[in-house]
Amino acid sequence: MCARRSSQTNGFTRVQRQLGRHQSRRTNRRAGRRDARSTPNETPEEDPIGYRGREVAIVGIGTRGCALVDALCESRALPESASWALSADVGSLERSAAANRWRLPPQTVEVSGKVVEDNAASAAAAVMSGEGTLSGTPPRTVVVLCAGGEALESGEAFVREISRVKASTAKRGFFGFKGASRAPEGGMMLAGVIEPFSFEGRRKKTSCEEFVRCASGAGACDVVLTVSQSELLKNGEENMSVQDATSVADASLLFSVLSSLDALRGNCWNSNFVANASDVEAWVPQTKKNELRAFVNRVMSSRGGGCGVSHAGRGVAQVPTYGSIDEACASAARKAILTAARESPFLAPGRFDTAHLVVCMLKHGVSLGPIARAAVSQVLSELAPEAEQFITVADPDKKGTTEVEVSLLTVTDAATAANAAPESTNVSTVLDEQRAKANAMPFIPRYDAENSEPEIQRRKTTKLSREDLKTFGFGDTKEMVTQLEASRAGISIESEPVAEKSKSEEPVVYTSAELLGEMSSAQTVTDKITYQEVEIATNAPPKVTLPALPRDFAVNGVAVRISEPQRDNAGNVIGYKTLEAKESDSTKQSKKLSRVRSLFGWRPAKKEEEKSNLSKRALGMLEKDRVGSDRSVVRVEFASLAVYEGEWVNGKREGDGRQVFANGDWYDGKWFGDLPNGKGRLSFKTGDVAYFDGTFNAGEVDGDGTLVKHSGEEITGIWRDGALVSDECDLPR
Amino acid sequence: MACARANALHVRCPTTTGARRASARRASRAVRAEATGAGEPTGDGDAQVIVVTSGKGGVGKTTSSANLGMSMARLGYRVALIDADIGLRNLDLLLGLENRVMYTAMEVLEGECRMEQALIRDKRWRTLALLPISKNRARYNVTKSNMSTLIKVLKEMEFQYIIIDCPAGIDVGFINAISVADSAIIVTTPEITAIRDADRVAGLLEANGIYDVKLLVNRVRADMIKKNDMMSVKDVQEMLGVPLLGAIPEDTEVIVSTNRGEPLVLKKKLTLAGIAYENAARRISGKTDYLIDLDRPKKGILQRVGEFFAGDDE
Repeated sequence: MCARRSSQTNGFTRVQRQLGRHQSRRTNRRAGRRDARSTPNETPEEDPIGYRGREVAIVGIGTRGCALVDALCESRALPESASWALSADVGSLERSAAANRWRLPPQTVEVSGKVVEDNAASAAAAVMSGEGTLSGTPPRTVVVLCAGGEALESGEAFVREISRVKASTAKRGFFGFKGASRAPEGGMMLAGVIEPFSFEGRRKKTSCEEFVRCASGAGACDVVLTVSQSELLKNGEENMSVQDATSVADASLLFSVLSSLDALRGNCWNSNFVANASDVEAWVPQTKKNELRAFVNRVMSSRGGGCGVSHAGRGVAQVPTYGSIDEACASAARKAILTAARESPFLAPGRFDTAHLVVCMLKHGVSLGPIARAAVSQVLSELAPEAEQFITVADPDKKGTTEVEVSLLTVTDAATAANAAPESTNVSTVLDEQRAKANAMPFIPRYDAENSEPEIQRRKTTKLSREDLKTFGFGDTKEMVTQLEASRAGISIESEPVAEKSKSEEPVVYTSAELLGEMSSAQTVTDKITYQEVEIATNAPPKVTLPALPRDFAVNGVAVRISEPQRDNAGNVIGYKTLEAKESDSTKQSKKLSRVRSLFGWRPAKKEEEKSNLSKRALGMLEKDRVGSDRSVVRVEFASLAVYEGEWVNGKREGDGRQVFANGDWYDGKWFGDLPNGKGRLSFKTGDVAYFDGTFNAGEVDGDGTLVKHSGEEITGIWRDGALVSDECDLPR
Repeated sequence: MACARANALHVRCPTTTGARRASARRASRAVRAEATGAGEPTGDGDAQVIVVTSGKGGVGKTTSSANLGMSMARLGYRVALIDADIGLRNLDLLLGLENRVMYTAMEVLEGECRMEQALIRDKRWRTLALLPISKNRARYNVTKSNMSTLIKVLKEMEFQYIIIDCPAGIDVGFINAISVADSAIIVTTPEITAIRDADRVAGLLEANGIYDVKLLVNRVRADMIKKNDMMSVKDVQEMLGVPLLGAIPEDTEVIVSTNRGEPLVLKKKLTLAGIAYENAARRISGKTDYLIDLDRPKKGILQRVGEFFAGDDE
């Protein structure tokens, strides 16, 4: 994909390429960094985004938000990020590819009082607890994706709670006194908002504006990116369907978010801080998060504060081969910025007139010299003479690409952004191409479970016999398969005589079981060379085994958060409330005054008499009796990313419960002593086995059980150590 | 009711969480019952129905019913005692009325006689009446609606207290007996078996909507408590989390009075158990609260002076 480059093409159409480059760059880095990664001393302060999105939490709110998160997950652009799907719709949560899901209170039901706030607080606490991240540490950057029209109440509450949580963990100013600054605190937060179509009505428009105002308000997000679908529809020609506009908007938003993340990536922040556009000397290396915030705060404080609303554009230009490197870079950067400004559907000239701040993020193959920097400053001031400028330059790519890529953001305050209706631009010619490419992008198609299954099923390996090797040679397996197919079709193939090899040289080829079956039926070709028979694994009766149990199946997990389901009148769970550790009676008693004041000063208090053994015994008996009726049903989230929902006794899983493991498998059944114990069903997310219905003993399969495959095949018997040991059951089933 | 509040105030928080929870719940419900209660029954059809139950057999339900009923009659209330222990009734024996049982509630329900005929008025105290539900060895076919019919009729007869002697166990007899009750007295002994059953019964009462529950600890032996061979009344009450109505000391006279058919409280010189029953009866009526604080005995003047100098441990 990266091979096809043109100097003039613009835009969001390149998201596919962009994603490809994300991946290729990462693979390069991974190769180079493998050693570095194994050493523990990573510099956390320097890397707010994290390698491969390690410390990024991507949160989708609402159905559209979940779809965006799915797209990001499936594109593997940020493979190590924590993905969260927050929605009131159970269906969209179930379909979501995000690893973490959270149900929001339904908007159709009148929920009482603080449920929305409580739910948002719990969700924010969960996201900020770092459960979803690979490192387990709280995410340094939170990306919130949603359609503005559907994220009003819950979304606003969530954004508020996130900013509250991260501010509470951040260092305060001088002895907690923050002064006049209203900048956000703690980690970075980006919001990507898709604005509704104009035909969706006033209510959604107002709701979106409210959300954007909240997200871009003081102390909330660092960057709010908006993508206007109605602008797309308006600026495009009559051929542009709503579906096209939707997919282009999705792709645009994701691209903008990814490029913003790239620009914010710590090791890319060799960027420069422009105090004055004309002053080249004012470029400061190593801009930090706080400097960015201070700058944005300075620019925006006179316009209502907050971070403003950003609109993004993208441009790419080839670095010409003439002139000095610096001059060539200057030319390319200039061209790329102009491309971004003129051809992006979201960056109409009106945007530059109203912009208070223009952020330019450059990525290129070689470092920018002073001429190039001056050129960037100059072209930006030509575009938006009134606006302040903020320019970041990403780390020079080691590959030495010969193009300059520019992401341009115009930042305006929320009120202006809502009012300004930019004029139509000459984007219609570009849009056709964009639309076609956006439709072909890897993350637009939905996750298709059926198509992904066979790949997983093919993992089963079988050893080939020497006969087979002899028959089909030692070439690559693809060739073997074609030969096999040909032989099955009745075409005789004259294979070339295979040179005899010593035993030690003989390769072992693994292929699928089906292939082996086909091979044995196709053993009609030449057999001039005789080989000794070796053991063929498939001659023995096949041993029926269970798929591997989830890694954290028989582990006493570390509970990260325990919450109590909140139910509405109909008994539906509408949210979870985190249980706070209550001060126990015993600790209260120990805090009781142990001294007594007398006329002669303090004297030690008389000790309370301990209960007699009889009473202790009776009390123990009663406690045990009462436990049966006092089992609480809770939702427990473990450090291993597993989520348990069920009965909970004395801090342990006991009774009936359901746990979804980190790999997506889930167990529904009896628990005892924090382990699966008793009858239960273990369902597998991947593989050809649908579920295993049977007996578990202290986290191990032990006893009667039935294995049910997706194909409908059932295997019943006695299982031990993950394998079938007998066909007969102990108990009548 | 005043007594409910008084008893609720005496509930201490035990150390363990389960007991604490149960105790707090029950205490709060006792207070709620007190808040909604109408006070002392006037006899105009608003008789208070009290069920005496225990779960375990042999802890003294029938003895307590007889003595509490007799004491309340002696206090001047119109009291009806119902022996709901169908098939194994003994209350008539304890009251010495066994020879006067001609009809039972079954006949009343079947329309063979009037309620006045089935009710046996005690000749010693005319305000006390006994209603056996069935003859001994009868088959069990009393239903909840039958019970409520009986109670309705008794209420119309202007009884002020209707005390139901509940059968042991938690079977249908128990369910029938508590179905008509407003409040309950759980009789238990300081034995682990009785306590377990009492706890179960307390839970069942709560589940059946009876929140005004009090505890009567029977057969207490102070000497054994001192030697740590028996749980103290305070411990029992804390464990069960039910407000205390009274503690009845073990008394050999109980056997004598049972055999003679003469309740303890009718003796000319009352034994300790008799006094305790009388006090408990007063507490039920709510007239005066004689509940002695078992944990915090009254301080004498010397003790107070001592505390003035040495400091108060409380």
